[in-house]
Amino acid sequence: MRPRALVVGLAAALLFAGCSAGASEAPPDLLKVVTDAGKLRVSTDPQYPPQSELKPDGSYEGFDIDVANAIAEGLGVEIEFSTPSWDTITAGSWGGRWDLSVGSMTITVPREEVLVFSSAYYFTPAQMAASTASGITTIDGLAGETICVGEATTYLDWLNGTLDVVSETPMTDPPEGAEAVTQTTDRLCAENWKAGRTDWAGWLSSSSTVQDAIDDGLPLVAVGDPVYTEPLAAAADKGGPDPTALIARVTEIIDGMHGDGSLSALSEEWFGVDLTMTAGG
Amino acid sequence: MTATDARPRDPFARPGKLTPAGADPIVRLEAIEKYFGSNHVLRGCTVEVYPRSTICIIGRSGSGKSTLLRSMIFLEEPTAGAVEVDGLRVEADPLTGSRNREYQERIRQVRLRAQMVFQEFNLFPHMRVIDNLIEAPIRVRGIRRDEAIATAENYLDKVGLRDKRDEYPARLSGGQKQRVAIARALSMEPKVLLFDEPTSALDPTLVGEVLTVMEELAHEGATMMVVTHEMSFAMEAADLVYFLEEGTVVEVGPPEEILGSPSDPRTQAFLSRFIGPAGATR
Amino acid sequence: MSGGTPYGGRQATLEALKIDQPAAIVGQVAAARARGRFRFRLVFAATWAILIGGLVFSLAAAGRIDSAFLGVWAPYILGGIPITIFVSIFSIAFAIVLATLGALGRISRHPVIYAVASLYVSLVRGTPLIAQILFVYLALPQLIPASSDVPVIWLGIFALAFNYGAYMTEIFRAGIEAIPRGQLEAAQALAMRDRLIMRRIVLPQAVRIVIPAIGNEFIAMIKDSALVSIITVQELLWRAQRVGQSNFRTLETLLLAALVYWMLTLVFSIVQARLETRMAESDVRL
Repeated sequence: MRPRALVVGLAAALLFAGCSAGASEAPPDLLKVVTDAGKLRVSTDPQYPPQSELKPDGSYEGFDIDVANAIAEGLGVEIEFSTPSWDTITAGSWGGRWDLSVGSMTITVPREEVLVFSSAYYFTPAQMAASTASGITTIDGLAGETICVGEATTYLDWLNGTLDVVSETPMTDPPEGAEAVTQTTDRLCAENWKAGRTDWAGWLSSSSTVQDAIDDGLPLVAVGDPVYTEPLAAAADKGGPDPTALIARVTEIIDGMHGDGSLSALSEEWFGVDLTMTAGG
Repeated sequence: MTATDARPRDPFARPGKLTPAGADPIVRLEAIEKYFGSNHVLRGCTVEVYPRSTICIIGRSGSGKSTLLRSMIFLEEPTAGAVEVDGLRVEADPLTGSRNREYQERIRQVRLRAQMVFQEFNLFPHMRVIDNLIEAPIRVRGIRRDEAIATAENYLDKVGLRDKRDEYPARLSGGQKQRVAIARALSMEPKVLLFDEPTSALDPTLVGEVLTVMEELAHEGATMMVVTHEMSFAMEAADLVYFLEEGTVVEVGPPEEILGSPSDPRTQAFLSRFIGPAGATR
Repeated sequence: MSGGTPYGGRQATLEALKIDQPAAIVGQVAAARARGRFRFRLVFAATWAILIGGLVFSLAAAGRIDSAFLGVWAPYILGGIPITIFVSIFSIAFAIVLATLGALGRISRHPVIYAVASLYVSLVRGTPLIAQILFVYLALPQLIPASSDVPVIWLGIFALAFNYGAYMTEIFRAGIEAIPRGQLEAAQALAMRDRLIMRRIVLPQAVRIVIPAIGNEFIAMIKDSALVSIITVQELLWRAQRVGQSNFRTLETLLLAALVYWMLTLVFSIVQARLETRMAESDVRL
């Protein structure tokens, strides 16, 4: 008697779970979700000064943080940050855990399959670097060498020849025969050199990250001109509630900030240079 | 006149000295068979015990005496036969019994009526002595706590261990543990007391205190079935002695007879280990 | 009188050993043993101090440890300790519940219950813990949409508890099966029903058997709690990683985190040792 009751109970439970998963009601509007909650949940990865970094009291600061704050203000809601890993953000299917990514994400065609992007809020040159130990000073000098990049970054795609992005400056080709190797974050590539290791000769990351490392006294030099410039935008998950309206509003806000110069001001503040203008002005 | 006559009877069973006149046997073990695998341990034993009598079961190790006692309360599942205690009858059901709720419940009822004292004492080590005694009366028989405690203390008194009431079993000597075990069995106020080699695990110097308690119980009219090697106890307290060998009852009689001058050569052979020249027992 | 038989040579021996009076031997031997133990412990502590000190000194001397940096960031990083302990305690607590149910299931005679419990143990022990944690974070919302509203710390605790519960199931089962058969027989002879026997006789004794094992599991859990950093719980390791990587100082921050985990493990190991000694001394000897 009891085993039978258990089987029935188990079957019922599984059925119920299956139903609630399969049967999706019309997904609500993400903008509505945000305004109803009075809160915009933004993802950020606080390992990338000056875009995002931790303060000793546990709060965040950086260019991306300020832009996110401005967007929330423009929407008239509060802001809340969460800190998922970068590859979770770029993969989509956020599970409804946060609403918007303001994390200097490059607009690429593959990413557009799972995310919806706002208009770009700034542009970052991709800068090649080499360890002082390697003695390399030109991009061609990196031919056949190992170049370290961050996981799931456009830098990896570029090295693999699969980068599909609208570059603001002419895109160059990767060094011949160069091999890519990844670390969970960009900075770990450089820290490898700081530790005195020579597992790779090259490093490709954003120009601000490379400059940051040089300023911090790490044993590397910038090599050559930026190999491409990428547009960076806010993004929302296609796999959750419909983000079209929210992204439209965010784009409005960003365009407004371009227009009234507040974005340029922030860029100057954090990067020391205005990165928000396209090559065309 | 009908079914009762068809049942196997124990031709040797007799009322004990204290058995009320005209009483029927309170315990019937009918043709108990037990196989362990292909080992035919019990070959159709029939034993009847009258109320307020004491029987001892003796025999070699491997003769099946412990198995017989344990089969009575279904700690071993009899392959065939039937057990009847105080009118409650359970027939062996080795094939489907383990899944039969009603069958299991009837077995439980038998156990309520026949309490066992084990060779290894088997006291609950995580409970104090008094708690060992009142656990089953309260939770199985539903007796109120203060009543159960009073009964338990009374029996502790009887076995001479009232002062050990709040001790944990680990602190007691073997003889004390066994006496507590006896008190625990008594606290359930059973119809029959079963003893499975109660002194075999005891240091020889501690055997006496336990036997004394058992003899007292027998003389006061408890119905007891005792598997033992202690022939002195049999002489002192038993109404009947059953000699078991290779799963069958070989010889039965009053202790003076069986132990003093056994008829069957197998009995004689067994007892020759215990008896020195002409009748002296160890 | 000299050497020779034990009795004949006794006086000479006592004099040779400079032992005062025979009756005082016991005390003097005990004192000598205590001195020996003390010496041993002293050298033990000194060795640890030298080894650890040497390690720290050589790292610092190589100029690679930025202590000013640590001074600024230590409070934030150490602020993750309460979260680590919180996660560990709740995970172990729920794991104990799961392990008890699992063990009962693994000894059950009902085929369905036994099958479910066995599947639980097999699946969970057969997949990596880190994969299970990621599954709970990434895959569960797709199966149960409501789970995306659950704070990540509880998702992490659930994943850890679910994992440890499976391993501890086998420990608990062994504990239950370690109860001597005679206990069961005595309880059955007292006409106790199976549930009552389990509740009042078997489980209480099994608990005493498995407590040392639980202590070990908790100590392991403290370290495994670091894995929930991958699903954004801002505990000790998460903080150490973020702070370190943002500032190219992962050596300092990870050293600090490692030191803290080690300290936590040491403390709880001592607590567990004391607990075991106390249980061995207690009245209940099994």
